Amino acid sequence: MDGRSNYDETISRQYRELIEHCKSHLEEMDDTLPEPVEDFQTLLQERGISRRSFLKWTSATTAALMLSPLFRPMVAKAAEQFSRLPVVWLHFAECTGCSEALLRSSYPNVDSILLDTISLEYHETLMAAAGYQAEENLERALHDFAGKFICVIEGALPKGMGGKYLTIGPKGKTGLEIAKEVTSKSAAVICIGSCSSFGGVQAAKPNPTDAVSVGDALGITTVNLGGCPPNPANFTGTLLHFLLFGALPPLDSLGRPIWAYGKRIHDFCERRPHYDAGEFVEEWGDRGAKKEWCLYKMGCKGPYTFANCAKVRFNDGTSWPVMAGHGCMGCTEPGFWDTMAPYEKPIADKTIGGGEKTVDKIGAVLTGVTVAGIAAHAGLSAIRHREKDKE
Amino acid sequence: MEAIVPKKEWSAAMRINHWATAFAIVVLIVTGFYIAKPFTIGAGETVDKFFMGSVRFWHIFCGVLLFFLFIWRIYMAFFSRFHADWKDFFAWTDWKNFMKQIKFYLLISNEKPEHNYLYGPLQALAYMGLLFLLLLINLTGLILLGAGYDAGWTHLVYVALKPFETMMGGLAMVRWIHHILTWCFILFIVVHVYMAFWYDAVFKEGTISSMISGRVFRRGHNE
Amino acid sequence: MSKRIVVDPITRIEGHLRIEVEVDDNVIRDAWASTTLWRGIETILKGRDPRDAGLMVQRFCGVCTYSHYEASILACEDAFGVKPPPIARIVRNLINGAQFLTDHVMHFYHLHGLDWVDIVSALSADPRKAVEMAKGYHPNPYNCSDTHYRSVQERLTKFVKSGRLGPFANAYWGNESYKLPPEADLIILSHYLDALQISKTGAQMMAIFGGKNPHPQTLVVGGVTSVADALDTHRVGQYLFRLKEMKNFVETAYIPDILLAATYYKDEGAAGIGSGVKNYLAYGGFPLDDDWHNLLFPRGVVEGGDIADPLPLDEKKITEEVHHSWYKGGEGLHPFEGTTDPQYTGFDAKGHVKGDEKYSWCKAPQYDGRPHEVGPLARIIVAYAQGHEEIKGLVDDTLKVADLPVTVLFSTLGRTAARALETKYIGNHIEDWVEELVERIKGGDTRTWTRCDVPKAGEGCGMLEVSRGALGHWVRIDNKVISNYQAVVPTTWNAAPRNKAGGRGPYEESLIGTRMADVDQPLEILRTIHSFDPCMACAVH
Ligand code: HEM
Ligand code: HEM
Ligand code: NFV
Ligand code: SF4
Ligand code: SF4
Ligand code: F3S
Ligand SMILES: [Mg+2]
Repeated sequence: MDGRSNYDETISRQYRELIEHCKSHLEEMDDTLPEPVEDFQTLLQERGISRRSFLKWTSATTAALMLSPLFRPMVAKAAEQFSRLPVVWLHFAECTGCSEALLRSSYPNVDSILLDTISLEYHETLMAAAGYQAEENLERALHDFAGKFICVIEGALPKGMGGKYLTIGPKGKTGLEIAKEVTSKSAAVICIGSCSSFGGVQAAKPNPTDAVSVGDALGITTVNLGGCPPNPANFTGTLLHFLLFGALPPLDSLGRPIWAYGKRIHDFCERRPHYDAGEFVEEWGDRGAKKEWCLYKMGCKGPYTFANCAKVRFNDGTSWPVMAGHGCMGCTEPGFWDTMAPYEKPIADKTIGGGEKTVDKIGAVLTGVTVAGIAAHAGLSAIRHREKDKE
Repeated sequence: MEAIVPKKEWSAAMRINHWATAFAIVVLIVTGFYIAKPFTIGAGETVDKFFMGSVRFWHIFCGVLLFFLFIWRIYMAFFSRFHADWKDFFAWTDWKNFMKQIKFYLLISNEKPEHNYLYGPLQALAYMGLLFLLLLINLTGLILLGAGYDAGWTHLVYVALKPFETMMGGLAMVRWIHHILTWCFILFIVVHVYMAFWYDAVFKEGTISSMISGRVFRRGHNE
Repeated sequence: MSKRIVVDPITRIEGHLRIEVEVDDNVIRDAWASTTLWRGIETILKGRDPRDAGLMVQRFCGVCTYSHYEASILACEDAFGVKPPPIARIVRNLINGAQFLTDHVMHFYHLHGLDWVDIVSALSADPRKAVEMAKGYHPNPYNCSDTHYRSVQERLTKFVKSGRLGPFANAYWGNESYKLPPEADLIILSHYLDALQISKTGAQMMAIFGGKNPHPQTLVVGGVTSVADALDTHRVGQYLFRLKEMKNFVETAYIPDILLAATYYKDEGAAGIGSGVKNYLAYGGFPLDDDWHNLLFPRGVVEGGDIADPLPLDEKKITEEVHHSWYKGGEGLHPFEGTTDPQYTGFDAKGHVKGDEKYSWCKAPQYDGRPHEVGPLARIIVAYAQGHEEIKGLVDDTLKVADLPVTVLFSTLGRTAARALETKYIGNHIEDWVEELVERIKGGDTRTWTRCDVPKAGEGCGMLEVSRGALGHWVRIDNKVISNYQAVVPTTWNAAPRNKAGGRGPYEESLIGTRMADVDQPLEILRTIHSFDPCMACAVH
């Protein structure tokens, strides 16, 4: 009895402390962050976002971040801070899919408000200035917000040839040089997407440009939002967490926020009952495909992939790869371009040295050879030992 | 006086361990292949079926069994009251005898290798390799198992083994390595069982039954 | 005195592009386009299962996220000798249609708009007059009221006064070459904000059959996987509903805004500013039958701006040259023989491109040995030259409204207008495809995949029209794996460096003769380069 109430007491004390911490942190942010670009409430109104849908958004986000509903007012407050958080967004070896993902950020339009009202100091795909003027903007942001801005990085860093596979700016600096300079002044580094987090497509074998993740290239700790591209909710959630607590969310051993990457696709998949039942799509477009059976045999890599796609889905909850009948290819995992291939076959059909040489084929041949060897050996030794016995 | 005498080679514990291991492995191979390449259970309603679920249950059941059998076997190698045989696994370091045995097995020479240890050099190497295989398949199996759990001992084990997962290149690679190891076991069993029969036939010491009765029959002296 | 101007990074595009120009008396006399990132994905594809190529090449680009996926699948289907069933063809068109609508709208408003629109000048606009002006271009303009315009203005005022302009900081506001009156600036600016929302609608259209956007995951060699979505009337309804929203935006915002801009920039158009190489190439796109005979966009070639003499397309005349690209190699090669072997030589001592040597990661594709422009303008011109009834009608009607001659098309303005026109054209046809889909399903045809397997050896090419122009992928298969893979991409054509003979690429050529209002502000360069909708990740991959 006593132990139980002690336990409850500890929990509620922890909550109180956390909430206090949150509140004081948000107040501190109020003082230290630059002036708001716009007033958040009018902004909501202008976007035609009702208070109700904003509240809905805050409760969804609170839940997604695995916080108690008690935090809802603070999540709302942190959302207001968004418009003041200086962000410098760098592009290296990438495809801009991650930027695009953020532009199509889902769940009530609030996310997109957040997007264009984060104080985006530098973003090559969106900013109006180019060339020298763009460079000036970057320099100014580094100077004005030193130690305060968040550096978001999209794209891997090619290390080959001294980094010359990528140069940016009038002075032709390499991506490596720019990354080193900017990250050294930022409050935190968020790697958005598999490229900056783990190397991405350009780092797939044989990795001709020796592309590596930002963390590996610079030897720094980064938040790694795996995914190609990652779900934008994971980005906004991470930023919100930063604003709420003044620290990055708890990360797994690969630097991914646990609240978003803590569980496997396979464990949340709507087709899981079909997996357990033994009902599989055997061929694209077959009966099972029409009935939305499990895609394991078509190469779904959900069992090996940690991500919240099944729960959050993409584009305002419209769909996700398994729903589209294709299956997951494990895009949130490091090295997935190599480890998850072939993408349309289960892992058991992975080949050794390409072509047709699956483990099962090699195994069967080896077993055959062994059995043949055994037969020969048995025959020979029968002859040999019979001779010997006769002697 | 020389006679054929029964000699107790294996303790009961060792025999139980061996056959339980053998049983677990056979079940694991069969269920493992279904998990790797399942066929569809077409008839019936989804809610009434749980085929993959059951196969996974038995695989995991035998997997965990195998894990404990393995721990037990390692324990016996060091602390068996009957015969702690860990030294015997190093019989292959006797190179001369090793070559002798290879020649004998390849039917090149008729000279029998000496049995200075519990195992001949080749057996020692094979069983040591096998224990290593067992270690790996247990390791990969436990990772695959723990990945699906958020709590409980499986989860704790998973957290502890996570560095190995990362080292191997992620869960998918763990699964693939697990699959490759399965074939190693198949190859082993084929050779292992054949060798047991061959030994039986050539040495006439009752090798096969020894794993059941615990006794071999050696030419030697009555004690 | 001639002066060298370096613009790097070119912003509001995908990827890493440097433009250098020689300016004499404020007029551009020479130009070089250099792409400054190489990732080597063609090399990475070697030795892989050809069925995996689609998802991988998709990562060439997250903007035209669908384009390379389909190109690769088509190349493999050619090599495998397989044809997707009609429903798969339709679903692909539906996804590609969504791609065009989204891409073009985003391009005009978010990537290109600020080259035409001075957002600071919008502050001094009279919202009521703006309403009147907007009604002059469409009877019922998008999100048009003086209260709305005023609130946009107020937001902007606050933004400017705060001194923190974020992405709009340090740009070229007030530059002489901005021609729009403040009211027009305000109208287009308000649509800039609306377009942020509407582009999400377009992305949802893609996600309905594609699983997600960017990077949909639904194509396979032989068909599509989203059979459950295609057969679901509810899903089809969701698509149609969003299509209506998109079309409404195109009709009541995008097209009127283009006409509005054209009114004030028409002199530039008439003067042919930004015309470029004037050779146009189109592979043809959006198959309306299963053999690609009947296409929404025709295939063909127009040389030297001669619309009186359209030519047929001959795939064998396509080569890629690397004389001025950072790769090893001699003569131009057909993509089946193509190689991608880096040989980087860097910039000169002053930090400028070595214009006479190699100076870009972009290769120089040639058709019949000459550089060609691809893209919406090329598509429209090829169709116009071939006398394509509907497209010709659309172009002629528009020109009539704006009171412009057809030659105005050969310009920066023409390129931008062509993009808007084709958006409308595609939008008008998507409903037919949905109808065909429904009819076929009603008739009992639910096939979405044709069975096929990787051939032991083979080769194939996939050629189609994507948002930025003519896209081709060429694949060679040996021992069931890819032995060579070459992609020649719209932006590769347009951003090409000089060819063997020293002829400039389309970007380079289009800048020649342009007068800059202020040589320290590269606004005119941006305007013309942006009119191509550059995508460097595509171009170089
Ligand atoms: C034909 C009958 C068999 C005989 C006579 C036999 C005999 C033996 C012997 C003498 C050993 C070495 C003892 C030891 O180190 O523990 C051994 C080890 C082993 N056997 Fe067998 N075996 C037989 C069948 C099998 C089968 C069918 C399997 C598996 C399916 C199997 C699996 C193993 C394994 C895994 C080991 C090594 C692990 C260990 O050392 O405990 N055996 N066997
Ligand atoms: C000789 C021993 C074993 C054999 C032959 C074996 C075989 C297999 C095979 C063939 C697979 C399928 C792999 C694939 O998809 O390619 C598999 C999966 C698996 N095995 Fe084993 N296994 C063994 C031991 C174990 C052990 C010791 C454990 C755990 C304690 C274990 C747990 C699992 C799990 C959890 C899976 C994955 C099932 C799933 O994802 O649902 N296995 N095994
Ligand atoms: N160029 C190009 Fe793409 C397009 N449209 C590719 O095929 O943009 Ni990224
Ligand atoms: S992670 Fe994927 S989507 Fe993001 S930039 Fe890299 S390739 Fe593109
Ligand atoms: S579709 Fe994929 S994630 Fe879903 S249950 Fe099947 S294997 Fe698991
Ligand atoms: S492929 Fe990627 S998007 Fe999600 S479902 Fe798989 S992790
Ligand atoms: Mg190429």
